[in-house]
Amino acid sequence: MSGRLTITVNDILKAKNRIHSCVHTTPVFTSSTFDESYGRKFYFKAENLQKTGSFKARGALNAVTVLKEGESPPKGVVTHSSGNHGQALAWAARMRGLQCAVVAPNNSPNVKLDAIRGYGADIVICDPTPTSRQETCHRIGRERGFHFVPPYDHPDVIAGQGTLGAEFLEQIPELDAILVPTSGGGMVSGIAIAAQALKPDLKVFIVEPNGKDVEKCLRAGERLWPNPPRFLETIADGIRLQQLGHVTWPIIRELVQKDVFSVTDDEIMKGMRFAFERMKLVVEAASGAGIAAAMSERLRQMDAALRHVGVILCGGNTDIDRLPWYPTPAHS
Amino acid sequence: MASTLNGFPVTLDDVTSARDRILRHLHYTPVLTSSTFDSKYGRKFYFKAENFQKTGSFKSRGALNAVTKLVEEKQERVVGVTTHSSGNHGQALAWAAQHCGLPCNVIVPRNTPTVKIDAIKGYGADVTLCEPNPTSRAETCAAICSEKNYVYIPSADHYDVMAGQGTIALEFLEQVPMLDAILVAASAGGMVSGIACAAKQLKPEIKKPFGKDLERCLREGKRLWPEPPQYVDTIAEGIRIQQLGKLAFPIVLSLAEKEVFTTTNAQIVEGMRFAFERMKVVIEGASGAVIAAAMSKRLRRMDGRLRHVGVILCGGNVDIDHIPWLPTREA
Repeated sequence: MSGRLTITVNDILKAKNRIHSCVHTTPVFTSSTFDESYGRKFYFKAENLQKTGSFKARGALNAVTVLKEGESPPKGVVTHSSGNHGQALAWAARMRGLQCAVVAPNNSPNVKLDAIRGYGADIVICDPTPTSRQETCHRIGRERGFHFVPPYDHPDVIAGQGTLGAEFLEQIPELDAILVPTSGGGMVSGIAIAAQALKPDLKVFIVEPNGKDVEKCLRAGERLWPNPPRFLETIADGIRLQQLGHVTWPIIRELVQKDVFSVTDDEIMKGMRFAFERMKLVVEAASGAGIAAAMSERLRQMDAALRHVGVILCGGNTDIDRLPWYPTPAHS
Repeated sequence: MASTLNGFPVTLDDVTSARDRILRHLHYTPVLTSSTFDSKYGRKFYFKAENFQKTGSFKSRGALNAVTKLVEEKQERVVGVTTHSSGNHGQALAWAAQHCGLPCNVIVPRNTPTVKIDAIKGYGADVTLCEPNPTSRAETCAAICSEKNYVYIPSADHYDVMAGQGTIALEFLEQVPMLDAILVAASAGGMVSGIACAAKQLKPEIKKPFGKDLERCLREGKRLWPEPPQYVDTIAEGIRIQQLGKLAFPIVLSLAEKEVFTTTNAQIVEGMRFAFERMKVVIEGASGAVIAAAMSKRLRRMDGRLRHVGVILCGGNVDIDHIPWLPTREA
């Protein structure tokens, strides 16, 4: 008994049909330098080049499209996220002619709020606590008739992210493993579902910032994280959640590798610098985490049969006036 | 005194042969688009991402074509190659030479950032330092040529180099056949010459305005620059050379548009920031200059029939510890 919602590869294929004319089939980059240094063939899936600058556009657009095509479509959608999901939902809503409200804490960086407003969404400010976020979100939903679209704990969002896995396998059928930076777990769940159906031998690995302790939880088979949910101390602002989601957890427990790559801020920055310097790609720190996992001693020691390793460059929404290897930000 | 051309000094055959010679070893770079940019600037723009090319700039095309052809023609009599360049051509030639198993010596101004010198050495080339002016570069290079009997491969003023750069146009027109115009940054003019020759032969009605301070020279049909050759004061260090090369000038005069886009440092930064922030690609100042041309009022006022405009993102070799809008780190 898996106890999980049954999201299948068919849901992913339906998602693909819903979204493919609006999202990019992102390119896969390779680096002979990297391969030589780290002893395998690596393939970097450039979701930093995706619409809205991260893979989140996929899940958001799938979810919004399902709502729009449903029997009684809502007037709009609402979520709480000042980050990539907020932007993605704002964009997806505009694509489908729905309104959108994004609830953001009062300490959100203006550059992120501006990006969300740029897609036509309304920002509603709340206090910087999980309680305030949820309450404000529910209130807006009721008041305006907007439907809540969460960032990961939703089957349509997970299926949308899964299109990434299906695409990657079409582009690089020889993949033996994929390294996935993980926060709530929407992307890694979607990719794992795709992989299970399309290439069961493929190993899907989580990449986390230090302190998420996913490996401990997976090996125990239990959610060991403290409550209430908290944020990790990491420069990778996109993957700050300590806990995996409740919908994603059983999927991950069933389908994802128990070996987890845990990376430090320094390693994340080194990964980010590699992308900028050698690959000429602007990636955010969470993507740097994926690259750091690829560079890690832990991977080096793994089975040599993992010859072809995919790395998800999940997004590129970093503040270019505040790159982490600069001591102070740019003057405005 | 420049004269107009009777034929193309670089023919389509030269460019397709170059392509056959080099394509296997290089990347067929993608073309990026931005719906935001199109909405804002009123045309359809296509960005050819040569920042993703081997060695981080388009220069590897010309360098590899020139070196490969040299080896094909002269075989054991070539003992090595040399050039003077602090930047992308130096790296490209070092890489091309290594690829062909030849020694390489790159003459580099003594104030060149260490990161660039390291990149050149990383491809196995030797580096010789010179004074930071065009005359010293040329003289030091000539000395190496006679001492070591190396062949000099210039960064632009060489038809095999131009033919290599021309392969960009072959690809670009395959990828975007409806291009009406191509914006090209120019320093000594190797790329714009190569692209002009290839593009005009493939699609005669295509226009190539480009970004460099030489409109007066083109309109008067003369090299009006002061001697000795100088550097322009710009943050786009890849396009600092004031003069077009002597071989390049007549080609450019004949085949490129007389309207030239000139960009300031502030505009270059704006162009770079757009690429970093909206397109998520790392580009150097010279590429920022071309994006600035695409953003310019001058282009906006041009013929509405230029619906599909190509923009060459020529390179991505910016020092990420010295990004122009960020404060420099203390060492």
